[in-house]
Amino acid sequence: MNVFDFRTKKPHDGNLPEVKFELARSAGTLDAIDAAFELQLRSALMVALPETLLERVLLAQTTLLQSSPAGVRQPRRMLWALAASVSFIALAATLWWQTQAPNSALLNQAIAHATDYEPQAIWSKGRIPAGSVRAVFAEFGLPMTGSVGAVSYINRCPIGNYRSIHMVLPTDSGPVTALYVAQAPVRERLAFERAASAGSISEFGRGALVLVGKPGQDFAQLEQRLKHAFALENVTANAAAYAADRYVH
Amino acid sequence: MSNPQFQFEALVRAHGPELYRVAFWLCRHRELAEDLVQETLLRAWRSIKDLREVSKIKAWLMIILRREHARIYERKQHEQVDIADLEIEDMSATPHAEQLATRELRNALGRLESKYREPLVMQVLGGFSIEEIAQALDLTPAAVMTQVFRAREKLKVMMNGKEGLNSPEKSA
Repeated sequence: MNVFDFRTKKPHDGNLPEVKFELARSAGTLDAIDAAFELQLRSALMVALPETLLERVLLAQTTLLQSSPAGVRQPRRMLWALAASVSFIALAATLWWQTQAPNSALLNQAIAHATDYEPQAIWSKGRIPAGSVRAVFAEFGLPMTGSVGAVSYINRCPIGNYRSIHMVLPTDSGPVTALYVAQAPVRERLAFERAASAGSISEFGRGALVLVGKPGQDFAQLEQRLKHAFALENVTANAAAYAADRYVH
Repeated sequence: MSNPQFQFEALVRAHGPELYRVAFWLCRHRELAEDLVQETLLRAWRSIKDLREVSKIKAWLMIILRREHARIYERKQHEQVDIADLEIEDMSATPHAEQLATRELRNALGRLESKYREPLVMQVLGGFSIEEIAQALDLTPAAVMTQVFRAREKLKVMMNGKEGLNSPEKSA
């Protein structure tokens, strides 16, 4: 069969249904060979879908929707009024953010992400190879030079308007969620403890590191380990300064 | 949740899996394929009002996906995954010999030149017609027909060196 034979013999496109395959195979024709190949080809192309992909897309869209409601055409005057209001609120919020609680908003979003959007991640039992962890951080411009220890889950996730890396780190006292939030400003290290969760937020390279786990877990030690893995100890406070941390209840 | 929100969710669930697989075979990089799918669907959502014919939504998504892929590759080259490490669906019930053959075919697909692989993936996975592929790839239907034929022949040659009735050189 050459190209021209093919064009005359195969005017149809693509997928050969299983029924046709069975008929052709029972007839023992050349088509059966083609059909077998088509089924095999289709099977080979069917790579497994990542479990959380669709939810990740929906979450990203919801985040975008909250920041910029698209698809709704407002009258121009309304838009100007809305823009002015948003600008005013943003200015006021920025001033408040700079003086009052610089990390709280990011912290709330990170906790919500870990506990509400991807609650299943914390129970991941896998072991992510160090090379994969290194590759993900490299994409975010953070070269990993040491070991972060065991990682059972890693994913790129949006946190508000920030890009982030979502990891789960198994520890002796239970799993801890670690979120590296790229480009997120952190003015000071903050530890927090709430009813069911505890953790910290601190500067990490050009972004923030948010750790979320259960009350009583040693976040300072974990934070040091992660910073050591990325040779970031020199830009952050040492463990002795942790005692002076402010707590949010 | 608003009506457009339902529509977007339906769009994601209906086309997300197929887009991911096409994206994967475009770039052969799992994480990048996920990013491509996310960016494609978000771009589609932002400009859904520009879509005139709902029946052409799949072709439209494919065009966005290919543009995103080209845009990302303009910036940097990504490490590609070892195709042999991939999981494929529904393999548990498949006999061992078939699994091996499928794995071999997957490796061959990974080695196939992208100009052959891309139309083949669109045809087999996406179910696109020759005309739709031609439109998406900016080729003539005859050229697409030739490429998908040669793609299959090359795969057969790569797999056992016997089944390809036309060697790539002869058919060129």
